[in-house]
Amino acid sequence: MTLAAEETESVISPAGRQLRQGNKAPRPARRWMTLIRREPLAAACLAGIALLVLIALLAPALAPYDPNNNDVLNRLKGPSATFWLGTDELGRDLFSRLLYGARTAVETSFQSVGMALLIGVPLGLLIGYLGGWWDRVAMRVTDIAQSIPSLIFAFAVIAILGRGVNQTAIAVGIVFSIIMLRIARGLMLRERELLYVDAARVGGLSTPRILFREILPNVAGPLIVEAALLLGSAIMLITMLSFLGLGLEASTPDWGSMLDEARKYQVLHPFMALPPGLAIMAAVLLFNFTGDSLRDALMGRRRVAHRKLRQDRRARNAPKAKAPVQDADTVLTVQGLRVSYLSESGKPMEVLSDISLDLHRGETVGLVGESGSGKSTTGMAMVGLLPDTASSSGHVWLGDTDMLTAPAAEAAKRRGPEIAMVFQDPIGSLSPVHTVGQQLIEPMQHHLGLGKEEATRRVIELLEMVGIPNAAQRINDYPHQFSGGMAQRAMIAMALSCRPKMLVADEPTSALDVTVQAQVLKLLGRLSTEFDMAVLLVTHDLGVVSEACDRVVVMYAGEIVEVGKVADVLAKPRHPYTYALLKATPRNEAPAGRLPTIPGTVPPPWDFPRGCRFAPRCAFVKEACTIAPVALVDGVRCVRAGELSLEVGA
Amino acid sequence: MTALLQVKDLAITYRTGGSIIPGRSRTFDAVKGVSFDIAAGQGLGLVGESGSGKTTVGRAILRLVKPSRGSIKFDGQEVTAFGSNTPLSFRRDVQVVFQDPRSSLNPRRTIRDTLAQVIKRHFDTPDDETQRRAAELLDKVQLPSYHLDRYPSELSGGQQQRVAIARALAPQPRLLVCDEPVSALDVSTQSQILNLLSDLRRDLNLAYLFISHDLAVVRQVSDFVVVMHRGAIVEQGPCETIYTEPQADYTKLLLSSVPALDAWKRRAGLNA
Repeated sequence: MTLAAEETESVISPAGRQLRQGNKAPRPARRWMTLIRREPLAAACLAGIALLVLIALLAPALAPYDPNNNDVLNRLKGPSATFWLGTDELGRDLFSRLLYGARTAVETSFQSVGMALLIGVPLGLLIGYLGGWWDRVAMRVTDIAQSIPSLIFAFAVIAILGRGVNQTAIAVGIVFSIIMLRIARGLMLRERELLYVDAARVGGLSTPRILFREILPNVAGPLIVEAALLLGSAIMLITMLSFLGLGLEASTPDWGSMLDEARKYQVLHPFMALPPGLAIMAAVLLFNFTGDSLRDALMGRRRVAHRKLRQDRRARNAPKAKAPVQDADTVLTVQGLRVSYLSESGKPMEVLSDISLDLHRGETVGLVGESGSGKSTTGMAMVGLLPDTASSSGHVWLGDTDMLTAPAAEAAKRRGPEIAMVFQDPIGSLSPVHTVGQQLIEPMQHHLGLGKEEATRRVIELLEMVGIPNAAQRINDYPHQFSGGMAQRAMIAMALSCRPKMLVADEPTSALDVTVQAQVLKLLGRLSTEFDMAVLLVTHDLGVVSEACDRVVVMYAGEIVEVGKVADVLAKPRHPYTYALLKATPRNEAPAGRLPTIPGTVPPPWDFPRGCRFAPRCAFVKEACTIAPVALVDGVRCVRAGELSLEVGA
Repeated sequence: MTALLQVKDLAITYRTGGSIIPGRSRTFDAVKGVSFDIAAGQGLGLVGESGSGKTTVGRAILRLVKPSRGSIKFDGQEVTAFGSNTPLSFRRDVQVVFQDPRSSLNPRRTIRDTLAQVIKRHFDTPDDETQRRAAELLDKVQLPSYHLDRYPSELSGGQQQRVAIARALAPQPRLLVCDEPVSALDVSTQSQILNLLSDLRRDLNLAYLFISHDLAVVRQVSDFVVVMHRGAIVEQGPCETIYTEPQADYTKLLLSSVPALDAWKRRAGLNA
């Protein structure tokens, strides 16, 4: 399922790009409005923080009394018009103390987190960037520091520095610096692997510049989130310290010490504990919510993308379609398949338009196209694994089942015994914490109802069939112990375990080396004959199609532009796109001047031309091409199919 | 003619499974005794599969990894002797284009920023001159100048790779290390970038170290080819000689494994 999610991402990413394009450098006011609209919780939290800071700043003006003004005559009074929240054992006004407590809380927490940012972040970034011995020594030191409970650590620091607002902030700041250091170092370790950092080094930029100008802006998001969460922790830690009578001086009004006083009178005046308790809770919650909503806002968990496009009402109310009469050879029939997503700007965008296609037993069909052509989405639709955010119409008939509309449980039952799938990244498709054997044997027990021994025997047989040497021993290995080629063989074995009638292979060899690719393609060819199954080979490489396929379906911008026998299409393409793609594919031949190219790029789904979608890049375009959508006639979608003669040279 | 770049007996060993105790960590020889030369203006193709060490060789030349043995001489200067600070003059002369333009451009910087900071760093030009040069660079890679104020995420893969090339050209290098520069691109964009690289090489007399797993691509851009397998060179020679008369068994295997566009002809023959 993680793979399905990945697919989704790659499908919707153009939408993300458009969104960023649309929001390029908005004016500040607009930006705030967008924030409020898109992230109401984040906006509310920011407003809450602003309010808290304002109270802290204006405490002297807002408080009706001096927070330390003793008034023994009015000690331990309940709430009244004079003392809104009552008074404590020395007759000090609790409301005033609460306001001044906010001041203390804000002062200490911001100071300590600020210190953590100023010390922990640069140190962490530097240590992560330098790596090696620096990293190892620094990490062991922080390990030791973090093995001491933070409260005890803070005690120790206060014991040395003495009590007071600044001293407490420093004590907590040291604890938090270590936390921040670890986080910044972790982020740096990840960021350091990215090529833009290498590019900056090769560009001759100085280390401080690379750290703070190049990398810091890219890791600022997670650091800000962490800082917000730490503000909450800071309030907790500081109130805890003063509740225990440590940290702040007795004269400093503070929520923790208020709570401590309330504790002494909890039987007589239970109300006393309420204001400071609620204040602490509210402040901590405020910062935690802020952290969480910032995380959502900054790290791109976009709710909009998850909104589903409402199904076309006509399609929903249409009478239940009946499976077409298929001849004995036909395994799968795609009829008028359309798939749309909702772009983040809210407009529907059709990524697949009117796909119709039959697959027969024993044949290998190449589904070829560039990125953005919709070839992978077509494959996912066939196995009934379109992401939830997609809306679709048309049919994918696998026998009597429409994989497109069948309930999820029904479609899942077909996957395995009737249709199976192999993905591009074999090692990523396997769980890293289970042995390859476990991952193959258990589904087999489940699907075929075999006993453990019987299933194990079958798995070993299958692995031997796909050419894994020492299969009986290798089932005890973990995926990382497999090479890419061997892992892909294992995935193929897994896919074939229930003898499906059809296999969808999505770029099965793109991540493999050429020598291994040749072997895996050969294996797929052999298995398709042996199992008499239909294979849909999704690929970007016409060479692979030529090596391994009987028929080819060429896709461009969500449409099939040409279908035919491989020998026919590759020798004499009828669509200018197929022709151009063939010419642009590098051949293993001596260079002969400039390489033929296709000008421009594949248009994004929200920008498909009205007429022929290839027209803007086509060398043979004429006016008729741009007027209306072109139909697929006799296996080719081109207005000029009859008149063009597109011979590919020897 | 002396070579622009001379790599001699280069070996690179990685430590795997780090341990604090010296001598306890395991090691992995990524590159074992590799030697080759690149002349000024020459295109050298470095071919190999994953794990062949080809990328590591490129990174050593760029001083992104430390060689454990051997010498790398650029323009007569020993690159391995530079110490921890790489001289700016070397950074000016040797530049890089990586495989994945998406991650090789800083997502938080506009194209203008990305180019300007390299220009400024190397030439310390006044602002208006920096801007002029940035626009000129974009023109060199055939991108309209309105892209200057865009962010990388707003460009297509091919456009991003053009920006990466423009950035590499900014210091006016003499050697360009291209590490799989077209592998992440679609076929139609791939040939555009390959043509651009050929044009630039001709116009600027650039030398290329062209690292790739794709034999068909390497053949289009190289004068000389080095074939690597498991960290060692199995064969090197003039490009066409390697492709037409491969000597090593491994080279032969590699060449025969490349999916051929006209494979259907062979298969049709077999089936008939």
